[in-house]
Amino acid sequence: MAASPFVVGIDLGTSNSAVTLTEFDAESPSRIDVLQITGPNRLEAKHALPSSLYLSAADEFPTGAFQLPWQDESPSWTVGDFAKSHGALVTDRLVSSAKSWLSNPHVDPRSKVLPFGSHIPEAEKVSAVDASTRYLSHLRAATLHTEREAGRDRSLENASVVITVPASFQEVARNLTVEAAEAAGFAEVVLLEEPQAAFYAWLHRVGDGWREQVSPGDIVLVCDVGGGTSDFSLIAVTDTDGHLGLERVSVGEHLLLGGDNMDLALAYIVQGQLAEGGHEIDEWQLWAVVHACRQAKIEFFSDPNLTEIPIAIPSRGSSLIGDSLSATLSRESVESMILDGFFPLTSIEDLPSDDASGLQELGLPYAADPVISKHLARFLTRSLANLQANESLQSLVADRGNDGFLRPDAVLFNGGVFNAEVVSERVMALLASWNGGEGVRMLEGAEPDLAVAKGASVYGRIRESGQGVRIQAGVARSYYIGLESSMPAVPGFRPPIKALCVVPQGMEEGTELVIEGQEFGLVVGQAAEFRFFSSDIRSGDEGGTLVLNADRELAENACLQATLPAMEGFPPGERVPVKINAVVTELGHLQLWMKHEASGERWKFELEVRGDS
Amino acid sequence: MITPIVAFSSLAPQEWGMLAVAFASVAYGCFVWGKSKSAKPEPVKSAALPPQSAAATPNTDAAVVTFVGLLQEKGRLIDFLMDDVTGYSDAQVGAAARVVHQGCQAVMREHLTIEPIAQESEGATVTLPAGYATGDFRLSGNVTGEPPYEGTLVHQGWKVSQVRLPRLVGLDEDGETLPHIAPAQVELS
Repeated sequence: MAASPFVVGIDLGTSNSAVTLTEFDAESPSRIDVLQITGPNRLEAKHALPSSLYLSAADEFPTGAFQLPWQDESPSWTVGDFAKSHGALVTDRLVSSAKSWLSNPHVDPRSKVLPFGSHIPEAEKVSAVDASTRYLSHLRAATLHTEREAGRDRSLENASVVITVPASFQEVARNLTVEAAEAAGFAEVVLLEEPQAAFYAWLHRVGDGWREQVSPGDIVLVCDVGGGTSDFSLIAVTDTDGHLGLERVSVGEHLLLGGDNMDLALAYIVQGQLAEGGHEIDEWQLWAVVHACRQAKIEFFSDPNLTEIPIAIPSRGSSLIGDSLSATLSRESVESMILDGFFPLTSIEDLPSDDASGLQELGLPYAADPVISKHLARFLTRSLANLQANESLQSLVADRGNDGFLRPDAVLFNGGVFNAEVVSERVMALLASWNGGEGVRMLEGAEPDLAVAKGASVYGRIRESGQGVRIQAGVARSYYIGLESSMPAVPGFRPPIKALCVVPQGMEEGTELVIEGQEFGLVVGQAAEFRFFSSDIRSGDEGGTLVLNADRELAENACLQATLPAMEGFPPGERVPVKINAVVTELGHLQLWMKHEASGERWKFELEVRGDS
Repeated sequence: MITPIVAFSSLAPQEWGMLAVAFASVAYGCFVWGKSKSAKPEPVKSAALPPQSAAATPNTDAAVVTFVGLLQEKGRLIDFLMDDVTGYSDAQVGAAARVVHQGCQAVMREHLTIEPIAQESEGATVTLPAGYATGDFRLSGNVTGEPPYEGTLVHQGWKVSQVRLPRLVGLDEDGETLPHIAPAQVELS
């Protein structure tokens, strides 16, 4: 049976990934349960694919143990459920949080260093891009296989594919996600910011009713707390000639803090309780406790009458009855840990402690401060700065005074932790306390669990059909090229580096821009390398704006590299005058080119992570 | 393998009954799947196992052992059953039962859709009309005459409406070797 055109929406999560599929004329996206290895020789379909990769040792498992029905050969590695559960016991061979490694500014995501700090032979290690490729490749094959078994023989040639990424992802990480997707066999992918995906899912769920929940001039905070990361965005509700529109006006920084941190914190409570009783538990048992605490958390939050939940810790050995341990988790300790530990009622001036000692161990830059309230305060404070930098952005939102932060009018929650009413209520109370006691509205009809993957499909269909409300977004932050300073070198003093804005914030899909006023003389045949900066709060900068002290004003996260091929009329060694040409493709991918205006020729820059090591 | 364990309710004796019944249903489900033959008029749906893969999978015994392996992995069922409970206190048995209950319940819920057969509450008077599905009810007491029968519902019964068993992959074609319930575990230092 020939299948009709369809959209695949992929939520490529830090801890779990999910897939939805929707045909153009279908009512709603449907989730595809992901076939995966859940034990040696055991294949099951689960709602999500844990974003975990296990690299097994030679002879650790029998041949064929990880072979998937669509594979001819048996790989020595596996992704998903078994990778996660077994990898928890053999951490040296487990790759997790690969997505966060894609956006790590200190380690090149293409270098084969994962599992990080592991003692396995270097040749066995993989890069963050490799790991992401394997997850995506698995999701692609599993989806097609499942559809084929259901009698729908689909080809990706008929598909548009939308992959969600954190709004906080820099261009490098976005490009690498596309690279991984292409290596995984997806020809053309569209990227969508996760908070926007959650918003699209909400729009789809409430239908036309969305117009009753918001009004022009409103700002909606999308508060997305996932398993491993938290991601914030602000979306303004606009009015163009009487039509309600949406525009994403601010995105947050990458924050490695989420529900997993909460489960671990609860597990430490239980571990402490056991230690008081004279029982030490090992790593294996601690993971069992983490898992149990996650279940307990869900149970507490879904049944307000429960006051305590017993936690049984199974023995390691086969004598379960004699050697199992018991502990109790009380509602009081859970609520105080999660509400007061992660979502306390802090003031708007109370920002996260940055601990920027520069001595942080190489590895993932986990948030030093676990208090999500403070990170939210910082986001809203920075958002105001971003808004104030640009008059047209300012005109989008109703005047809201100047309290030092950008006050949202409504909130859309996303992420499993907000299934708990007490948690969303706490965030509402926090926002109200910053707002002089005046409450903000909670958008009704949120679906915290599967929204991102669904929203991806919804967005893909809107793109293809042109039907439905689209969030005006454009490039989330502005980008800059560092210019060599012409100041004379002085010992002990680093001259400030100037930077040229080459991509303004909000630059839209399918547009391009040639930066006037600055030409670069590049030497044929020699690699040129530039420092590359970004900012998420300088919405006022235009292409060609010069920032005088880039080191202080901007964030540096990559470098640009290009080598000019030999060119007629320019003997080797001679300088070719080029201008910077920024392009945002129809698929939303940012590209930078060097353009030689006289000949019309251009060469593409490659974005590379500027590794510290 | 990580064993999840939180128990939310105390374990009443009838729940053990449920476990046993459900366990029996599991084996039943396997046979249905393996031989594509059903003793009941309404076929049990086997969602995870499309017909084309049935031929390629090894024998039914292996499927049963794999499912028991899941109950052991998630709920430590075999450890619990193979132990001698007589020497332990009720508190110790209770603590272990929480592990078993939580884990096995999760496995059951994930792989089988289990429902009561009779919708009436236990203790209620029920009438079995002529032509009732005899496989659905087990009669006791004064079984004489022709239906309709009237009696008290003593046990609601259980049925499986859907089976989603794990598939076996990458095993030898002949499938002569049974998989293990759980491998021995060795921690390297």
